[in-house]
Amino acid sequence: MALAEEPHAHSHDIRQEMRELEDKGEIKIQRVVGPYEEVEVAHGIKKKIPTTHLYQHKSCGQCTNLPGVPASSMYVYEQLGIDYLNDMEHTSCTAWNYHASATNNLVSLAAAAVRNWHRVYETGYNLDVHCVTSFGNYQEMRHLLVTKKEIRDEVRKIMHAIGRELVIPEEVVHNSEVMYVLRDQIAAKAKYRFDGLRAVDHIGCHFYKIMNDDVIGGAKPIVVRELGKTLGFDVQDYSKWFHCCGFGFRHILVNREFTRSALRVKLQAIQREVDPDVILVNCTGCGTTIDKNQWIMKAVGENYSYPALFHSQIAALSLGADPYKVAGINFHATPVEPVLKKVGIL
Amino acid sequence: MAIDFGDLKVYERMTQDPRFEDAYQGCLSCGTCESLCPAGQFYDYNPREVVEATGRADEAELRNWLENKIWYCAQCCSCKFRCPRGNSAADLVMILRDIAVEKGWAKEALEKYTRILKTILTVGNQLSPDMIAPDFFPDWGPRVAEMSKHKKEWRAELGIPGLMPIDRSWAVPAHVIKELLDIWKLSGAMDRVEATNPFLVELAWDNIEEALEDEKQAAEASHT
Repeated sequence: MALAEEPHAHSHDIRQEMRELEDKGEIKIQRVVGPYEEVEVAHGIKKKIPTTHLYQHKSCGQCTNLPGVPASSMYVYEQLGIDYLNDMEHTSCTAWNYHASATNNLVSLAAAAVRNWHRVYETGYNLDVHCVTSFGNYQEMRHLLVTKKEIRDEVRKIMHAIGRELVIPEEVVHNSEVMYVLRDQIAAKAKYRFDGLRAVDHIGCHFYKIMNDDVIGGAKPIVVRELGKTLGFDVQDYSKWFHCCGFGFRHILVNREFTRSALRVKLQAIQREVDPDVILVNCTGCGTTIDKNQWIMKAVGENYSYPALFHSQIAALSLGADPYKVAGINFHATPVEPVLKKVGIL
Repeated sequence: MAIDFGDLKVYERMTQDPRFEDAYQGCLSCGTCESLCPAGQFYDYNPREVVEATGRADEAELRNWLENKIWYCAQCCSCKFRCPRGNSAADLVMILRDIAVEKGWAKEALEKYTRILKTILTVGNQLSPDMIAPDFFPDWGPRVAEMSKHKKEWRAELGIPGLMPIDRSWAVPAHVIKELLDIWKLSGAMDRVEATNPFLVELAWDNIEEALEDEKQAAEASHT
């Protein structure tokens, strides 16, 4: 039996409890705007993935380290004629800081989430979260706000003080879930395919390990590998797929020897078992860790050069995006050029 | 660093946290969490110990964790995902980190973290492109050094509105940063910053006052 089907403390359809709270006047639900596709997540629960009016909730790590990732997302939507909003009036979710330092407490974390959700609500767009940690954090904050009255009451007070309301989105959706739903549309318009390239995927821990009942694929998320396969990649399995990349939140910043050591365990398995052309990712932290920490492995006599490509980048590149001016491969520490040359993009 | 715990009852304080009910639900001592914990591979760290110590309400062991071990956890939540009882060592660690920060016992652990905290409190983002400099990330190799040199023009080439500044991840306006600061003040998070980095609090409020004034002047200028 797959893990997603086993009884678990965090497995329940939060939406029903949200509707009950809304009926009591405790919260306001932001419902999905416009067309959507329903996809089963776990226990027969259906999640609505909006396919238009997408609020680009950007990632601080992506915009800093690999800005071609958000640029690629917006390019894909433009090519497919999908309405999106690149709004500046949201902050970082502050979950990176929470997991790294605990200097922001739980109430501030929940209030920062609701402030950003309320901003999305007032624009009339659907939440489309670029960062996996923001996504996992928003799912956890939604769970805590719905199940813990004391947090709900404190956050409501803060929202009123700053002139906002306690709004909770019906759906917390990650950008890679949207791309998964759009995969056939992307493939139909593709100018390039990745046939002949071998890949492995690494899914960010916070995509499915914080809350496991509301992501496509459940216990073993399928969004990136299915998008990759649709675009021609030969996506292979490897034994350490579950292993954390080593990002560690505080570790990538102030204890990088741990980050390098944990990543090495993963890279060794990938090289031994598959030796792919690329590693496909959907997570800000993992993409950064995998991209930036391969060069230094020469120090222990090991050579790795597996470009880390995000779901949005492969989608954009297949649609004909400029590798530098859209996909931003010049920001990658591990060269992407050799792989793009193999499929004629460069 | 030896901590003076005074009369703090760590277990009792943990049980008062809203996360506790989900995070501890009885331990089978099966070792699943231990077997897949990345921190446990490289540090003297075992997530099963903190779950078992919680189950025993073991004050001495919980205090031992508070001294240092809590900072080894990578917060990947692999333990939470795979625990057959639904426990979360990662969340128990967060509850303990919460106590450490609140009590001012995290100064050493957060010593190198000041710049990050300053970035959040002044620009509303966790990171900024100007932080990715070769002297701070020499282990990221020659392409990152090259990127650092060209960050302004390469970001401009992407042509994405709001992604041009290098002092923040995107162009978060001052009035939005002010809302985040108000949240931190009203939630008590600012008091915790005061406990670890007191000068940052004053810096954050001075900075936002100036930024709001600049924003106001820019808005007035655009109307004239």
